[in-house]
Amino acid sequence: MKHTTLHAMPGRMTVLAALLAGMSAPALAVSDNIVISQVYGAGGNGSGATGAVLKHDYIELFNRGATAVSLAGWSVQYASSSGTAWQVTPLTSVTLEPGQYYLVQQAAGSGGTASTVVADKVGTIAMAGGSGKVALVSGTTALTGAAPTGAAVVDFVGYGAANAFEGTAPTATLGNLLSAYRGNDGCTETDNNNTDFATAVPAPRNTATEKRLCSVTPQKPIVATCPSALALAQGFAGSAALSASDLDGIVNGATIAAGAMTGLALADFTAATEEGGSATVNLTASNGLAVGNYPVTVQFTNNQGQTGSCQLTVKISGLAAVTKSIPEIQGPGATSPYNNTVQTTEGIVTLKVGTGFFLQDFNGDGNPDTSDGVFVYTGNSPANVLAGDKVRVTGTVIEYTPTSAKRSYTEIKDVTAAVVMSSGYTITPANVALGDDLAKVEGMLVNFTQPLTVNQVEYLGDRGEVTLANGRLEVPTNRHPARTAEAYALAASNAAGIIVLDDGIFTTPATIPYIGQDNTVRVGDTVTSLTGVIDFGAIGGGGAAFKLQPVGAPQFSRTNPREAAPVLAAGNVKVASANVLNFFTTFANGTDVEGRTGQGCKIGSTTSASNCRGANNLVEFIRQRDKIVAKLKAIDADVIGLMEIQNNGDYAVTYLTHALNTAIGAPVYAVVPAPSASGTDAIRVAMMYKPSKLTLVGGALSDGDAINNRAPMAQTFAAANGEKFSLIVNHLKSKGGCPSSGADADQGDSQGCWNANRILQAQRLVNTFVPQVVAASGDADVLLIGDMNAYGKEDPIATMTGAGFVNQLERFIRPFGMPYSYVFGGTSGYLDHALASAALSPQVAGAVEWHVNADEPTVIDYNTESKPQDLYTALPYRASDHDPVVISLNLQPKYVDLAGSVKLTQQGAAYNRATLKYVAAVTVTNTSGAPLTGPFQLKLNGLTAGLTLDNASGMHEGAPYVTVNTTIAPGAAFNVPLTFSGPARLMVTYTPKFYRGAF
Amino acid sequence: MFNTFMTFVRRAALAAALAAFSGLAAAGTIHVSIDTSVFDTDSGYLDMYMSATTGVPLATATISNISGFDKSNLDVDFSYGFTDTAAGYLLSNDTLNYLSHAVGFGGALSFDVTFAGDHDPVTTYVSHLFVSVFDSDFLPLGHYDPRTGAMLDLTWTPSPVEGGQGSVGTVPEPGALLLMGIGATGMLVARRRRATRQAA
Repeated sequence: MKHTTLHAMPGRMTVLAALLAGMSAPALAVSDNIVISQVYGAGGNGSGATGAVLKHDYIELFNRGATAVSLAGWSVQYASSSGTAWQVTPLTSVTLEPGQYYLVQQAAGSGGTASTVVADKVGTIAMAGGSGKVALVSGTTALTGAAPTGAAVVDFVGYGAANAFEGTAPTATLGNLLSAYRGNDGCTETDNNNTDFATAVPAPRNTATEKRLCSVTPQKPIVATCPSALALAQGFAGSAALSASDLDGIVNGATIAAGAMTGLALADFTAATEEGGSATVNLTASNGLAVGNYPVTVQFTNNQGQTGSCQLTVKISGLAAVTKSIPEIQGPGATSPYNNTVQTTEGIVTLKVGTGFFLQDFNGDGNPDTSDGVFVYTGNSPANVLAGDKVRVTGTVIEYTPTSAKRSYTEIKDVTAAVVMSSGYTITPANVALGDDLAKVEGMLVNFTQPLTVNQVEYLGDRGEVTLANGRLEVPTNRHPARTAEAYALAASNAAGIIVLDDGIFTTPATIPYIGQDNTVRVGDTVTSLTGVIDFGAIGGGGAAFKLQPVGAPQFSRTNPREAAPVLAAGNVKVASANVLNFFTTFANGTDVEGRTGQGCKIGSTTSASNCRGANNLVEFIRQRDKIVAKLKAIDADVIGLMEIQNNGDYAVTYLTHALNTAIGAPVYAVVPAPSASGTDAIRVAMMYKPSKLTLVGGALSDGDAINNRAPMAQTFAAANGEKFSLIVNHLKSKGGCPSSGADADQGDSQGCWNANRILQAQRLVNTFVPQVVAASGDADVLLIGDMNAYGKEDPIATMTGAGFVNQLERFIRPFGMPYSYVFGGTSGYLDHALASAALSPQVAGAVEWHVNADEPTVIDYNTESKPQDLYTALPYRASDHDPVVISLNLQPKYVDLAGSVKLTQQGAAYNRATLKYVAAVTVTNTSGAPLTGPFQLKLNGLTAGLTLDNASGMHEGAPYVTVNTTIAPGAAFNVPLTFSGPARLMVTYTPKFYRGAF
Repeated sequence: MFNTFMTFVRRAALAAALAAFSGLAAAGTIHVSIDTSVFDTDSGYLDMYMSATTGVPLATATISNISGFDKSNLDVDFSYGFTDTAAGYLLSNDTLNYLSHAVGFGGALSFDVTFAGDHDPVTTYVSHLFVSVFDSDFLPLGHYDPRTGAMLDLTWTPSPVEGGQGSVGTVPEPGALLLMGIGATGMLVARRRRATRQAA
């Protein structure tokens, strides 16, 4: 049995399935040893640098067994990632020898070139490039269903977001330049697509490919590395460094196997000292070689009798004269005066990077307006130069403008000669500071004299980039209202104050750079020893920026340490707001947490797996869940408002609540049952709470108005002391997914897109929904939390504060530093809010942001795809992209009866015959042993009918009261005089009550 | 509020200066003597009443040892809620009451007040006995408290324990009188000009 689908109890189900298969399988028909060894579905897709090289899709088979197997009557079959319709390619009558591959070519795309490998069988199935399902079947009848099983299914591979697969999850998503390879040349088979397959550049194998016997541990080959060319000027000697290594052998010899001639020699051979070690040798060319191209093949040998070789071309050219110095090429203006001309120039190599090298004039021209450095672009053919070489370069001067960039960068490309003249030079870096005009030093070696602060680590993993600035940059509208001069000024200074620290390579790094203590680097950390070359180019997130390509290791300091848990002032209710970044129990591959297949997520009335925004599969989900649970557990709030939880009723929030309780080890949390409307998006807001601390008062309310695609949810709670408050969880419209025109387009005011929509949502909230909630609860204590998708001073927040809500983050955090919960584009701000109604605000004891997410690199998150290095831990850090907000409420009654703290003595009433007034007093004695501080209210219950208290401050519940503002020392007494009007001969009768607070 | 109250205390102290009393708190009995020679009118009224309400421990004030006026002078049209005794009257804090006597001025008007009553552990209610003197137009005479209109305001605070002795005081308290240099034990006070009479 090859094919199992994910299930809640996979072990048990696999056993059952295997039994069924065993009973029905013909004894000789099926071999476990024929497997699908490679799958590629993007043949001919795309164009340009990211387009497919190969023209055809293909499915590669392999015999991993020890005996020949006939494929007569078999087929390979294909269905889309969630499809049930299977297309069949019958196989020719062929017998696969042990270790032999078999290539089934499928449909071609419009791009790419013809496969260089001959197909063993040509099919016509057009496979999907990223996700799909492939089966090897011991018959030619089309399979049925999304996840076919049975004896006929010899092998099964789900790739990308396939909804069926062997084992726990499909393979990673494939692409134009990625096929799925079964590990160990096809020998690995543990019936788990997710772990058996890895992705790499597609390279099909066929029956003519050298056989690979899985029973034999193969000798690893010698891998030899040569530069493509050794370019020298006639009359100059030079050399190229070559190397070779063998993972299981020792490289111990090198010879010129072809192209040997007088003037070329191998020198300075150093054998490897251990298996896997490198042997090095220099190919030297004398100064006597004539102008011309001399191809040379160098062959390395090892202690296993293997050989490995590489080719390079020694190019001898007449030495061109320098036509322009580098400062002349750069010129003082924004662009080169020699743009689009061929020039020869000379300088010292300061740094080699992935696609070229930086060249700097040794002396410079002394003009600060003209850069002394320039980038020499060599693309995929690295020049044979080293840092410190004096090199004469001939090539075309161009102005390179990266996509969306507002300026260009002078480069030399189409290099026809890069001749090393001599070596051993050192360039002294120029001291610069952020804020300087870096255009004047582009391409130059510089040193940043002041420490810089990490401002973004979003693209650390996939691009090796860290955004740096002086201190932490703030989103302009986090501090200033939109469209104010201050906001525009801050936007301008932010844009001029950023540099991106790169890693010298322009692809995803195999080892994540700059990672430090605890396998992280945090926004807010400090960097020193910043010496490198000023580059300019595309950056993560779009656009372009000046980049520093370092020549040494920058020193990172953990100046923004992690905090194990949020710390804030004590109260009697702790509220948290947490955006959990798409917590979905239904996965992008169409399975769900219960192991069902063919599942989907709902947007409006459409259900589809492509609507699922969270984990791709169960493996990712468990990683995601564990991080979120760790985070929520550490926060330990009494009620948690959640955003971005799957909109599947209470299923996802219930699952998360149970997982949290499991982690705690007790049923501490319960779900607040969903209100009637939860919006039309794939995600909703939700709440969980501690029934031991809070009691639900009535049911949850929501506002299903059409303006709210994610309906806000309200719930009134009563604290242990009986005091009530209402919590409203919000998730306003995102800034992304921009319309191209209209009020919701980006207005260039730093508020992003959909601001007009968010204003309407905010107005609807404070003008309609809040009054509904207050009317239902009969209590004016309201707390608005959630991801407002608006920074602190933006229009939607102003709408809320304008309606009387008090911004608790400005109140409790701003006095001590910048409030932020989110980092975007190298700037920080808070999208996650805590706004208290005027009545509640005096009862807010504190509010904090727990910087557990926004400061952390995206690459340490739960996702598994596109990560050469997996730094995941089940700790809270980077559980989401937003930091949680935690609010401490100290809910107090408006007034407290002081019956236990004071003695009330009525002074008998007099009747003044002159004024016709009754006069009396109540003596209040503090019996509590502690000072009592007002305001106090002396209330007269049951006052004699017909009497009016002349000095009443007001009426409460039908009785007059007198307000007294004073402090009563312990044991002290004071009199509250009372004057009454009314007809003569009345007995003055009342029951005094004394309260602290206000009615 | 507090300041107003203090003003009230000070005025009450001045009002007390025209009436003199003795035996404070000794046995619940005090002797009151009013020098009417200071009034520049020949006759008027001596009024007194005990504050009354409901739902509080019972307290009574017995008026006896009357001198300078007579029970026969009682103005029955204005008097109510009292109990006759052989030597005077009994007033009670559970019944609205009022005693008004037509009196001649020139000598001393004196009488004893004896308080008694139930105990009250929490001092719910302090009973007051107010004494006023009016001229024939019912305008108050002497140094009276403009708030209550009373020349003398005696208080009865019940004993906190059963069988204990309640305490008698004045508004202002005797301590405050002593601080002001006025002897609380004196039987008579000095003549004073009629300075507080209201304009007719």
